[in-house]
Amino acid sequence: MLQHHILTILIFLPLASALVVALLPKGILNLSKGIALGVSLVQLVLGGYMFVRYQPSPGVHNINGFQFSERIDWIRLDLQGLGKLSTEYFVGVDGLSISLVLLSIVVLLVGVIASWSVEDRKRGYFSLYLLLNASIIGCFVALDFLLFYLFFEFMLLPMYFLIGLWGGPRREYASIKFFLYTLLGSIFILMVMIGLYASVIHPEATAVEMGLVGAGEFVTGEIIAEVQRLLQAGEIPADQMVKTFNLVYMADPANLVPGSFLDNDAVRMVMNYPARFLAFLCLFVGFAIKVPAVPVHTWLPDAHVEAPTPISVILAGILLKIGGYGLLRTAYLIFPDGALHYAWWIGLVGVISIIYGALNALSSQDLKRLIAYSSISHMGFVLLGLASLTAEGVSGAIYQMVSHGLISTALFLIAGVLYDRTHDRMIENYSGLAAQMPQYTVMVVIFFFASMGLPGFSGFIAEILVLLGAFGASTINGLLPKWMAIIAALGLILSAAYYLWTIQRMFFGKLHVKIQHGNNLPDLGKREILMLIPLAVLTLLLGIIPSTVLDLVNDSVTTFVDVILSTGMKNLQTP
Amino acid sequence: METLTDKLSNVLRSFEYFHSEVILALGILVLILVDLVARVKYVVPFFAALLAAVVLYIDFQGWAPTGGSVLLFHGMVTYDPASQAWKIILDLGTLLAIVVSMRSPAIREKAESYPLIFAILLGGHVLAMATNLLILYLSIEIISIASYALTIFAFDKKASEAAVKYLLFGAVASALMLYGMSWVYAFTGSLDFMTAEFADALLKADVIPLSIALVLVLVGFLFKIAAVPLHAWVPDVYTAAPTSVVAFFSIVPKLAGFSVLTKWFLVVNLFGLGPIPWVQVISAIAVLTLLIGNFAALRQNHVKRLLAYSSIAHSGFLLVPVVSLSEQATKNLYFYAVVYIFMNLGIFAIVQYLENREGITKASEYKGLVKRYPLLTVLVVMLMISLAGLPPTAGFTAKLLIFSSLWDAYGQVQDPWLLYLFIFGLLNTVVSLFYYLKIPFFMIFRNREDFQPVDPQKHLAWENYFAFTMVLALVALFFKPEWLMNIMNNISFAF
Repeated sequence: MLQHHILTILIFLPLASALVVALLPKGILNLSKGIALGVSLVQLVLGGYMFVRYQPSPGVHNINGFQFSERIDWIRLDLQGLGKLSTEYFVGVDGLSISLVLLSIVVLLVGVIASWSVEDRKRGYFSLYLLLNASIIGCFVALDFLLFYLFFEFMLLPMYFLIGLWGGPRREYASIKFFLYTLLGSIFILMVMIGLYASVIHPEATAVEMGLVGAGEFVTGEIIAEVQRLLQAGEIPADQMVKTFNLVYMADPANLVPGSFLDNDAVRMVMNYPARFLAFLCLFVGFAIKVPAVPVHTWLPDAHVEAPTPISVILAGILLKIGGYGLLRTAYLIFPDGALHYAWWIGLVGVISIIYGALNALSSQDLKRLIAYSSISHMGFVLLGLASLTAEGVSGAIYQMVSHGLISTALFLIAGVLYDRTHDRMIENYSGLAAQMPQYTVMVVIFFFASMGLPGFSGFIAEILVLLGAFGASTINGLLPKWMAIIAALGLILSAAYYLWTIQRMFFGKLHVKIQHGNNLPDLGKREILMLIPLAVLTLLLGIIPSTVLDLVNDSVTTFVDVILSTGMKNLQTP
Repeated sequence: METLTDKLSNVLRSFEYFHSEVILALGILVLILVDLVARVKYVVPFFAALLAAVVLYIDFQGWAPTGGSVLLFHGMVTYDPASQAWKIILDLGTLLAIVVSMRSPAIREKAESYPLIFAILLGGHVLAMATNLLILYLSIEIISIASYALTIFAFDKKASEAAVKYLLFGAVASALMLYGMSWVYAFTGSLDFMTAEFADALLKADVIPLSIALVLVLVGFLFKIAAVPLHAWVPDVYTAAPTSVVAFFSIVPKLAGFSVLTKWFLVVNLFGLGPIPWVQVISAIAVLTLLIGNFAALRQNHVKRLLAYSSIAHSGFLLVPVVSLSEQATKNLYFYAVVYIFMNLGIFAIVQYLENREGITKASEYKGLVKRYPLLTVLVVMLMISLAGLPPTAGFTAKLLIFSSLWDAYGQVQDPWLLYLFIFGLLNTVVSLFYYLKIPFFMIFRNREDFQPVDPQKHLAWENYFAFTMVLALVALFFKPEWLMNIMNNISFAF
């Protein structure tokens, strides 16, 4: 029972609670925080259950390989000439997504605690927060492109209001910039989605439509194979094809309608460029904006700096990962040929992000901006790991997403701690804080070290895996040259430079604070410790026992890499 | 040779398919009479709503989606499922627009506007069925002349100015169109444009004079649907006319224009064999309409002017299924039209409400309204999201459908203009979001000190219910588009 509805509960519990919070009567507004916290705690329990019950297995391209899955027909539109449009409410997790779902649950919980001090219009705040919660979880578990897109887009609206209403001085500019940038990305994704849905059939539903099996009967593997054979032989009339948004079916070349735009064998050209490559590029740009990769990153520093602390936490901790996850789940799996073809360029974008982000962080005056640029730098490792298409690299990419999710959450909390006390984030205005705020200093040092990839912390495992993958790629599959890994490693040195320099400037030396409240700097409060300690424990845990995450991820990643390399090679050779 | 009896019996038989139009014509007369005798101000609007509902009901009754086409009145008009679908859509739009207008003092108290509204609807009905150039021209003129008169119903200087502009612009467009039609008649020797002979004659005609003639005819259509470059009248008229009239204008005359454009486009395109690349021409017009509508809307502060440009941009979207040229595309056009009715009337109902209650017309004057009208603000956000075409609203589904059929069309003919339209159309969503968010932005993000929240009872204003119903319909159609699409799917086309 719980096994099959757990993901649905994870999505719809916050959604329903958002409605409840929005309709709370005036007298009991304080309850809104409690409801948000309650939802997150229930999610944590369910997440724990999933973590324990999850059986490592591939999933990825096997429609029955997903766990905790639930599958219900959602929209079935008869579009005669265009065939039938079918979308499903299809949710499930595999190794690519489970760690990110768990990460989201943790970060969302921390976000609620960080939001505890919100007093201004809290009913609106917490109902938007719960909407955001629902769409984030939905995004990571959706296995139907339309469903994924729904959650992906729906996330923007609460985010827009949360930044725009509760943010800093330039919040209006930052929120609309964030909204328009991400929407631009999702339009690219939408274009591909339309093209894809027109090109892919739903083998089971098509079998029913053709009368090979009765409605409601179990469709066996042989029948699916038969449908796919008939499809490739061109023997299914257009009006009997059931077109699908199902991401797993999209990833199977046997379901591509022959002669359609995204068919491998047809090599259709769009503006003198092979359609499949173009589709991969569109998806890549769409998700790269979200990641964000240089040069489409410019929304991020603004959004981060202006957003209130808990929202920065969500933004850095989770939303950026949706970009990386989207690449894995859609762009790579559906267009493996594109992934191989553009591997070099993706690696390059990753390396540039690493270096450019780090250099910007080095020159940042504002603590939050520094952390924002360090996010760009660290997310560059995700792209590099993906581009390498080796088991180490891809595991490293996922590990980096989880690790960066935890560490950046903590870093933004740290920036928030200072901002709450002084309303000033300029690094140059502080020095010698270690004397005044010892506990705070310890936390800062821990997370700065974790973020620069010191051994013993999760960041180290992630980055070492990515670098191993990127270095090995030149011999394993020849996708990336060795110099990329070498330059990316320079990014580690740069990150040590900006973090250590910041520690030196802000925490060492004589106590001096350039602003009025300077003398009133209390150390960490209980609530702040409550948020930071578990994050520190998790970061250390993942740094010392990497198998906690790697065991969840490994099977899926090896399958992922195998499928991409074999299908991709095959697809590239067909023409 | 037909005898007089034959002719008369043909006319009499034709009336069997002409119920709703007859009722409309009689209803217009009755409305004028009721207006003369009635002393209670709600009687006329109520009567008008009743009439619209009756017409809608009759058209639904007379709907035989799988039936063939029947030539009426010696081929002047044709009764077929496609035109019947258009009539139902127009009826629906009129009914809802009348419901909105009941709350407008400007209209309610000058009940002469209702006969004019029904004249436009009658014109729309005939236009949707027209298969003869004369009837086509006549019905366009009925719509236009009644529209000129309706524009003036705010009875102030600006309204008069806008009405005169509209009249002059419209008169020139009609004249050009009529002139073009006379050329077409010269080439083909026939006014029945849906016949095979007409198409044959078009194929044989000289390219340059034919192009001139068809472009002139197109001018008239573009004027009616408010597409670039004949959109210039829209902002002025929309700003000056009473809001409920604008709500009506943005729907019925425009969709009536689309009902005939789809037919006409099919004829002149000649299955792509004709000398003029119409698909490219209309695609280019659609791209321009989208660009100009959206970019001009960015700078507007007056809410109705902003919505005027938004409606121009939506004409661009409505042109997308026209160029896709398939049965499915036409069905998607119907879907889009219905969704468009819901979103536009929802937003206009709210704009009118705030205009009456708060006396505000500018986006910047909407500031801080969230404190006073929280529910209304949520509705505005949803309607704007739908107009911009984002999930979870039917605006997204409608856009998804029309662009799927466009993609399909591109897959078949590989015309690069279709691809440009695909890319520009979707990218325009980003631009449009910027101005659609402008009103919610002022309502929510900007504060106003002098505002006191009103007591909850006032949230139960009637417009809130109306807009809420529209939003509910939009969300429901996102999650269950088949409720609407299955109705459209029954339609079988004669072509």
